[in-house]
Amino acid sequence: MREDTFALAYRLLDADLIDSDGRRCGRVDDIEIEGEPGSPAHVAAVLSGPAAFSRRIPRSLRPAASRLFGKVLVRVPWDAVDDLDTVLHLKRPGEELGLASGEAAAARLIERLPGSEK
Amino acid sequence: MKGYLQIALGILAAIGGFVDIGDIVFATGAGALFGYQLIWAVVLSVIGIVTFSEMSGRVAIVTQRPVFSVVRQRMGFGLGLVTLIGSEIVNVLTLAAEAGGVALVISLLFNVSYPALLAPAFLILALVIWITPFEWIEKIFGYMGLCLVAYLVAAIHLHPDLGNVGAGVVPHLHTSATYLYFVVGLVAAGLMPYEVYFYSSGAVEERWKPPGDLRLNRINATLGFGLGGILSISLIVLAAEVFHPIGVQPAFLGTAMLGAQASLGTAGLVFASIGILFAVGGAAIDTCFAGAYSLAQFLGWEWGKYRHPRGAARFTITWMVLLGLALVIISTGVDPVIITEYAVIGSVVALPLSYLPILLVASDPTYMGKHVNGRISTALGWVYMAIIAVVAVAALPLLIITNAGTG
Repeated sequence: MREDTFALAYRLLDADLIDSDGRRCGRVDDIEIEGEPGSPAHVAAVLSGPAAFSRRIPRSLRPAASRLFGKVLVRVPWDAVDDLDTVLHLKRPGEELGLASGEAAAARLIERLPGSEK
Repeated sequence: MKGYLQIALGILAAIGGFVDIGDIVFATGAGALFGYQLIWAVVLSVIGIVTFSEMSGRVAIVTQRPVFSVVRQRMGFGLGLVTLIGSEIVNVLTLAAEAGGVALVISLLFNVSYPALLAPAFLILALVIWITPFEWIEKIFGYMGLCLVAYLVAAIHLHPDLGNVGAGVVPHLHTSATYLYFVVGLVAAGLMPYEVYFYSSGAVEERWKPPGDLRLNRINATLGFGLGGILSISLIVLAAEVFHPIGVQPAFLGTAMLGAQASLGTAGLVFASIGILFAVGGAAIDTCFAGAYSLAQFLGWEWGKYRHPRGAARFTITWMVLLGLALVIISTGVDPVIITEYAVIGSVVALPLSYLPILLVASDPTYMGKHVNGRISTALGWVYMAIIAVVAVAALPLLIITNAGTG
């Protein structure tokens, strides 16, 4: 990390998630913070997936968003995070963390076409 | 090892982006209606697109993050989503117009009926995208599009009065709404946001890395879009010489092709047609990719032609769906030139929301370190944000008042 402290909303929220294989596997759609009022709070996890970003759009559009993108919500515990530079690097492959499940489903569709692995 | 002449990305981004169907329509129309008077609007838009493509390329090289990755983080999810939806609508309209333009040029060249060529044109585009590696798409469409230099030759061949051309470079305004509509059209056609979506993603596809490739980025942005501007000005000059004196308003793509024939004969027509075919075909691919890049980057999906189709499956499905949607739109029989005008004018709404985050991130040392914007880039960037804001506000009323430039 370039610095000791960083602004959550400015740097972490919406950051791209890059797994240990260098693959893009989502974005930080929400941040889970733990701690009681009056005592120190810390980041427990980052949340990714349509169910997380649906909460950030107007209420009337949420049903349409979940029909279009599904209701997946993946919780990536903070100890699975390796580093934050211009993106958020993860310690493990995205599949192990349950990320980018839509990518696998789409890949099964695409691999039926000739030349899809060239 | 990358050579200094690795400028295919800049050429394709500019030939397919700057000199696309929208620019051909607006530049030829501007020359036919107003002679040389509107050349300054092209110069204005070239400086703008060079400024922002260089910035977006630099941001992509330093942070490995192309435009839509940055849009969401700096504008927030809600405003980012608005930008995404707006630019996807404009992208798919532009894609429909460009792919329709491909069918139109082929139909004019071989005297075949245009509607029968639509499905084959889309099929060919899909196959080219599926099979061809990114580097080859750039080279084939970028370099073949260079046949458009025929317009420069044609313009020079007519010995235009350089004093008048020079006077056209000096900005001046008229009260005529049609004149203002063409100013807005030329500036917007040159600054269409898909150009930077494509260019910045292309920089990541080409694996440009700091610091060595920053120079390559500057050269690509300046030479590519500079050349695009010269070709645009040639179109204006040619239309000013050929169509302006006889009062023809070219409402068809074919008329733009005939301009080169009037100056250079059959050879001019052939080169101009090939140039337009590949420029418009390249623009179709630009817009198709730009749409898929934008959605994938906004949602954090894997993307890119450098992965095989299965390796970025959602990205692949997205460009296929976009091509399909564009085919449906153009198959309704709507004129590609009309869609183009609406797409260009519609794009100005997405302009500020696309260019502002580029400027903010490029000026932010947290992201850019020592490659942060210098004073000139920052100043130019803010001047253009002001210009873009004015253009964005003026575009829709002018479209309505002038009935899309027809007076």
